[in-house]
Amino acid sequence: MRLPRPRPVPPTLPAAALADVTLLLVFFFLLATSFDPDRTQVDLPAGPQLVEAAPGAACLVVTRRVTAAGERLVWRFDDGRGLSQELAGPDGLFFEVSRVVEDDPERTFLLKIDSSVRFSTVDDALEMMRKAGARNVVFGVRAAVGA
Amino acid sequence: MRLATAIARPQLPSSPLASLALLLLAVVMIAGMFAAARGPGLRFATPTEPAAFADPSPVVVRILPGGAAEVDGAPVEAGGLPAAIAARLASRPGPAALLLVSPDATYGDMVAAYAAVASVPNVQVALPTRAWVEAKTGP
Repeated sequence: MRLPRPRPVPPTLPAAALADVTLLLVFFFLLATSFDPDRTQVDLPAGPQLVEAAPGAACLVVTRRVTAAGERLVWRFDDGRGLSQELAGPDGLFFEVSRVVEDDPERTFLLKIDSSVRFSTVDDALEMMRKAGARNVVFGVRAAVGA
Repeated sequence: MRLATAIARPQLPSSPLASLALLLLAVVMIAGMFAAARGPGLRFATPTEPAAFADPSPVVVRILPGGAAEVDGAPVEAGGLPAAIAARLASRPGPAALLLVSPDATYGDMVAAYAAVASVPNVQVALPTRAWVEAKTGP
C-alpha cells in the first residue's frame, strides 16, 4: 500500500489561542479592579446650565443628612479616576485637591452640593481648594426643566 | 486500499473574530466610563486673590438668607434683580457684578441669584470668598 507523503506544515503562531488568553486576562482584570465611582444622590438646585464639567473632572460631593440625632454633612471626594472616598471635612479636602493639582494644575473640580447646605460650608470648601491651588471650579446644578 | 483524501472546506476563522469583538467591547465599556462628562454646572470668574479682580467699581449684589437680595445696599424685590443690576451697570464703566453671599444663605440661594444676575446681558459675575472680602474690607 502506498500512502501519500505528508505535506510539511508551515510554522504559524496560534493567534486564536492568544486572543482567547488576552480576553481571559481582560475579564480577570475587569473583575479584580475596584471601580467605585460616586453614586451619591445629591439634591442639586435647578439653575442655568452654562458649562459641562469635563470628563475626568474631580468631584466634591457634600450632602446634608438630617436624622433624629441632628444634622450632619457628608463629604465625599472623587479624584476623577474612578475612586471615591469619604472625607472628614474641609480640612481633608486640602490634601486631596493638592494631590490632584500636582498631577494636573488645570484639572476641573465639580462641586455637587445639596441645595439646602449653608453657604458658609461652600465658602470653606472654596477657600480650602484655593489654598490647595485649584483654578477651575464648576458649581454643579440640575438642568432646569425646559432648559 | 485507497484512503479518502480529506477536503479542507473554506471557512472564516470566527473564533478569533469573536474574541476580538469581545475585547473591543470591553475596551469601549471602560473608555466610555471615563470619557463621559461629569455633569452640568456654572462657572464664575472667581476672584480668589485680592489682585485678581481689577474692576474698580463693580455692582455689589448681596444675597441674604432666604434669597432676599440687595444691590449696592438697596433692597430689591424678588424678580427685580436683573433689572436693578442692568440699571446700575448702565452708569458704570465696567460690566462686573460682585456676588456676596451671606454665610447663612444656602447653596440654592446662591445658584438662584446667579441665574438672575447672569441673565443680564454682558455682565461678568464674580463670587469672592469670605477671605477675599475680609482682605479687601477688613473682618
